[in-house]
Amino acid sequence: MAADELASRRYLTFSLHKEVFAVPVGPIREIIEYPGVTEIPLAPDFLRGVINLRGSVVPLIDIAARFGRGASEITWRTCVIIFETSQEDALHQMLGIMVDTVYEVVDVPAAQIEPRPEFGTVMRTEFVDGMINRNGKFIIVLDIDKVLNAQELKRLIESSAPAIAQEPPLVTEA
Amino acid sequence: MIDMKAARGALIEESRELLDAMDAALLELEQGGRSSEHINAVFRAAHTIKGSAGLFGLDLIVGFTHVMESLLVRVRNGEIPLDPDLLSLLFDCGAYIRSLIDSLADNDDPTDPDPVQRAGLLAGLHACLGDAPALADKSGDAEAVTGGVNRWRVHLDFYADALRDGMDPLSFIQYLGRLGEILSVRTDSSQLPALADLDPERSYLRFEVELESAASRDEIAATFEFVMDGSDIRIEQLPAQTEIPLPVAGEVHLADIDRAPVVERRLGGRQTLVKVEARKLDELIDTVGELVIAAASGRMFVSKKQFDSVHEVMSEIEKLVEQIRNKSLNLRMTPIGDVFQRFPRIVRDVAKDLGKKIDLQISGADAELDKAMIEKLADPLLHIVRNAIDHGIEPVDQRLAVGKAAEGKLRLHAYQDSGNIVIEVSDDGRGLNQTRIRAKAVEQGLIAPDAVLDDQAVFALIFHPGFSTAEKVSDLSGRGVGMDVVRRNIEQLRGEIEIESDPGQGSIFRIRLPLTLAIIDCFQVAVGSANFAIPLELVVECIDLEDELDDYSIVNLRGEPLPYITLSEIFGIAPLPSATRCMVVVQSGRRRAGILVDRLVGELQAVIKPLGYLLQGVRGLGGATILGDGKVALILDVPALLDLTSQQEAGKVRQAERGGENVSISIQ
Repeated sequence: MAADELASRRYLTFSLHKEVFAVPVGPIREIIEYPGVTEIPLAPDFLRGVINLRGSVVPLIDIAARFGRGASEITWRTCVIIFETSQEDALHQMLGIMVDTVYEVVDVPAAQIEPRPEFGTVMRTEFVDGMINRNGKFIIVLDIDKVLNAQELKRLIESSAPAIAQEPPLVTEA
Repeated sequence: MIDMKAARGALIEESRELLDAMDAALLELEQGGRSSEHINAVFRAAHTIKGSAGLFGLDLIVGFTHVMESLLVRVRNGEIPLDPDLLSLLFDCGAYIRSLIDSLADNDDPTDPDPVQRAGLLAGLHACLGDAPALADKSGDAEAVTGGVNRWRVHLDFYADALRDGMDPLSFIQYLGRLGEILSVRTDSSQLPALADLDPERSYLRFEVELESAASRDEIAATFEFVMDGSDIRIEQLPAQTEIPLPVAGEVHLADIDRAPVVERRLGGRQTLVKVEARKLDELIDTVGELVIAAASGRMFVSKKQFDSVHEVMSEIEKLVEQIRNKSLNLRMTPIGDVFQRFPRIVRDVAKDLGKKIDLQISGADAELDKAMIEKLADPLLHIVRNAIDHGIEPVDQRLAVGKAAEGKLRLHAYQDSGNIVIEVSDDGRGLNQTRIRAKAVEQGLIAPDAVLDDQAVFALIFHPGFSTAEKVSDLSGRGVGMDVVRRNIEQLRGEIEIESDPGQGSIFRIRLPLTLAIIDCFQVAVGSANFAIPLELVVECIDLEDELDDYSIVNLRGEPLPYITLSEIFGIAPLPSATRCMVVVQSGRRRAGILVDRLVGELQAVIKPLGYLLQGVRGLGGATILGDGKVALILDVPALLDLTSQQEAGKVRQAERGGENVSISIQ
């Protein structure tokens, strides 16, 4: 952090349910139109399904649902931002998140990034990395590694489909 | 510049193959007595490994193989008898070289995996060498009398690192002695530096050997094959009985030429190279050639707007693409014998350790399998084989007591069976003890004491983590790790394992694997708006359902009851109301079941795409594939789906028996 204290950082801003968020551009691979999606049976709400990204099968996450704000509606402006995670277990795993509208890439001087408030964002505080003051309005900067934490998502996906996701035979009565 | 990393990979691969060959030859020797062909094979292995390792400056390997080689030369010449002790020693040497090669594969700079063993083995080798009579004079005399004798002068100036690489000039000179009679050896020590500057591992001395021999120049030169590079070795023929003074020191020497530095890079993963038969590659290239031509003619027809011909060319291209697909996949196919050939050695060792007698039979070794799978198959097979010897086959006295032959039979057998490869490990031992497995499972709380299980279900218990019925833990098995790993490994290969066992008669472990991991033929079905692919090798038939289904999940298939899965129900998908319902009958191992879907779409070649980390835990799905329209279709994991359904049903039944109102599924 200290090293780039003076430098500005680049963020992509987008909207979800009329609220504006920002994510650092680093882990973003590309932004695509909302593609055809194949649903995964018995998946939790936040897992919309999988998409075909030039031959790779990429899970599509509805982060509004992940934040507990209800499933996103698909409009003509709905986009998918493709991230590449750098987490140890899921190195280079690609993930798409669906957003309502993509706005712009902004350079924000490090000094203008406020620390995250203790409450008031109406979401898990660990998802919030900080706030950007832009034209008098606050934009939440997401901690994308937490939001897309591969281990947590995997666990949620497994447990959302109890019948599908459990260990084989060995019939026991609990 | 040669890619040193790739070359090193090739060295590792080659050495492993040579060691396999060496083991095989040693086994033959052990069983069939002395045969020059097999001794030669052992010698060749040691010799070639030494040569290749020398190229990389791998002193640890060169130094060791060199001693071994010297010994083998004399065994080959009949100077040292090949007795069981020596065979054992050679087996151990092979194992030690293998561990050296393994450490080379794991590290850039191979370290000695077991210095104590090395010292022991070297001492053993030297002891054998020392006992034998010195060889130079005996064979030298024999050759010298055979007429056509010439006098040669051989100038030897070994490259500076020769000693460090295990190339002892003395042994070369001794070897020369076997080609004829050495008249004189002169040592030129003019290159020796002051003692303070002397590097004891560096070769400073030059030699001039006068030799009287019937051998040709080439035969003499062949002696120095391994040190030619970088060394200055000249062979002159002398007129009979002439003296020629030493050459003047200080000529140009190749010894100082920089040897290519060994690239210090860790090899990623164990398997980095695939050996491909040249024939297969040629065929592939030919087909690609045809494709290029077809594409060109397609372009021509398009520009001339002859669309009928374009159609024709398109179907030609499709055919070629399919051929290329098959042929390129075929490049990855290796005979399963590559794994099997390690077993004679392993079985021999394990049997020896346990004091049992085993007759190992191998058949079907030429069945081919994806190279990547072969690598992953080795460990599970090893576990099963060890278990069979340790737990399955009885000690000799017990066998005799129940009227069996003293020698236990162990059989490795591979064969193809409708898109699958099946590998069987069978023994004629005591079989699995159902009562004991049950007791153990109850004790460990895996099953209820009164649970009703069929044979398969009982046997399946041994695949549970931590499960072992062995009363005493041996070095080899019985620690309860193993069988669960075996099952997991095999499932990772999209395979299945099943057990057949008769008490007192023996057991068969049957592993069923798909031929390749990359592409499978599938049958595409639709449920609601979702598409699924079922591996075609599991599909027996498809039927249209005309009758109404009753409450049981069982249909009448030509008089036989067939249980079925309703895909829309298990996956929670709303079925299309108008759809005619169709049933795909699948067979997985011994289980046969129907899968009820809305619509049959047709056959599909599925390039399997992994679902990735997030979706690993989703059971019932084996992967994904991309359809012609770019959408993703999910591939069903049929065995898992069948497991799932039977669990769900068992859960429901128990709920109902307890009179619980909640009939949702809850197990554990």
